[in-house]
Amino acid sequence: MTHFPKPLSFLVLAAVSVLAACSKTPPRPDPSATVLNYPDNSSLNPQALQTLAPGTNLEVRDPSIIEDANSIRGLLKAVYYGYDSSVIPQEERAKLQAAADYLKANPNYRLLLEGHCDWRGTDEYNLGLGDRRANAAKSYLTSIGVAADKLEIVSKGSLEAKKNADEATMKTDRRAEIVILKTTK
Amino acid sequence: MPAGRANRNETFAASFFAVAHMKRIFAVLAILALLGAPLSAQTNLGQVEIVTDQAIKVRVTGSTTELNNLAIQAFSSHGRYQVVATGGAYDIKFTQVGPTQVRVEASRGASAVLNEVVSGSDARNALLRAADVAVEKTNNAGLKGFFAAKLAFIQDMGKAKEVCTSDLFLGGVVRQTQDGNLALFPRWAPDGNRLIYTSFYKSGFPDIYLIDLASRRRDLLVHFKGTNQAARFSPDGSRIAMVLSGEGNPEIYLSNAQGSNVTRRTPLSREVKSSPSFSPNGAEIIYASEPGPQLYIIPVNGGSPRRVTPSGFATYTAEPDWSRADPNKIVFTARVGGAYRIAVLNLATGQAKVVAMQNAPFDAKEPVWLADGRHVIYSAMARTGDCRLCILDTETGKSTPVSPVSLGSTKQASVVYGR
Repeated sequence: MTHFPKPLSFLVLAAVSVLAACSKTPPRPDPSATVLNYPDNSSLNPQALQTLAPGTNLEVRDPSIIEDANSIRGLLKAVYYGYDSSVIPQEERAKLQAAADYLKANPNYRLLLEGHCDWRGTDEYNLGLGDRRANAAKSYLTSIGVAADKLEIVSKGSLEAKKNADEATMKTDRRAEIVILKTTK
Repeated sequence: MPAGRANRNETFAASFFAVAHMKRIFAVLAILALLGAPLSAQTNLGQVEIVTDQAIKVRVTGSTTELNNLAIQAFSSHGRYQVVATGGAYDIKFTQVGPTQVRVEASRGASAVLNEVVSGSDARNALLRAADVAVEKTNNAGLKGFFAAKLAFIQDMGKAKEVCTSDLFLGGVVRQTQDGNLALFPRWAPDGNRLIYTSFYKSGFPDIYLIDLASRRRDLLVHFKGTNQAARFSPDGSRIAMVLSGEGNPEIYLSNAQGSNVTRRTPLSREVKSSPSFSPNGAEIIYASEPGPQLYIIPVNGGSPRRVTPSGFATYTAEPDWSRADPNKIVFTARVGGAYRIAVLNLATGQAKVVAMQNAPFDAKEPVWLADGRHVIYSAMARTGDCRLCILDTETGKSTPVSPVSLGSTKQASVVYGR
């Protein structure tokens, strides 16, 4: 299957489509001209208390956890996963052991496990799959003795994945980054 | 079987209005030449022109240039109609009679079938409402009109993804967020005055926000540890379904309309759940779950999930949307032979079918039903990742882009009807 027309036919097609698009489409205001701004932070109204039904074990996130100058990215190596999988391959486990060792040596620090997916699939599902990958890394770390309160997870899904990527690139997109959080808790 | 035919190099509208728009066309072509390849994918992205022998030929005219163009654009996106210059079965005329009022007249030969003044929030809205009235009078298949929907969508500028609203044909676009952050999955509340969406804003984690458009107030609604995403209101607005991972795995949760009294509805497992959507009566939720994913339905008040996608249909099925117009119909995204396509599941028969789109060289994802239970709005996605919102007739496979190239990448549509 050819995905794009050849250059010459593309020009003809593009011209026809542009003609069609323009003729059917009246001029529109630039959306940035009609931006509505929320009045600073006062428009953010986090609820003081989110109530839970009995048996539901969710914790409200500490709002001070945010990635900033106090985080170190790239020092600990990312863990890579198979296609559509959140299982941590045998050969990736040493990286999690290194992360656990780093925490032992730096007892005030914590880790943010950031799950990623390759560009294929759908956005909502991939946000879940990235979460699953980060959670699998968290489970492994707790199984080798890291306290759960030292670990935060986040999913970026396929939001930062390279589009139209080749197999080698997609392999590097299926990962959990291990970010060091220097904020104490 | 309707006879489909590819029809890429028409169109009536193109030749008819080309002269008036020459200057702008040259401007756009010049930009195209400057930017080269990346835009080339977008210009015809999402377009599958199909005319079936079932189509009703209509001549459509409006009293002003904008109304004329909009009326033609609307009817051209409808799979039941074919817009023609002469010899239509119906002649449909729209005349602006006030700042917010449009008269619609439809005739079949010498006999008038419709003559009515329709009001809207502005002239465009009145035209779209009037066109819906004309559709209901002339389609002879009992279809409701869907043109006068309010649209919410994401304008994707890479690291900045913003929530926008507009009419169904991208008139009156307003950027409702301007955070320069990742905003995702906007969904209308049924009242059409509020939007719920997912954003990494402030915290750097996916949280669920609610915007009240009337009061310009925004609330951080759900912010548990883990991923909080994909929230949707129930049809009566009293509950919110969402995906939360704070208990260790992305599962389906319910809350009240304030995001409180949160309760899990799927058994905690290691299988990723996504995209909950309520049934029209609010009693059930459909969602996607691993393995696959495949689609499952659970009762809102608790009970066992039941798989509803037929075995062997597709290995990957996701993003279900339950039709309000026909409670038996679910539209969803399926991976078919390496491409993503829109598919429709009929709960009454248990059968699913892929909407044939003539090997269109793009992926089709994120479908959402329009009011007639026949058309959907979805995201056509080029291999570059660029997306464009399109209206798709699930019966004929006719696909018509509605978002202009000038808006860049647009995706994740949600629609609501009413004032």
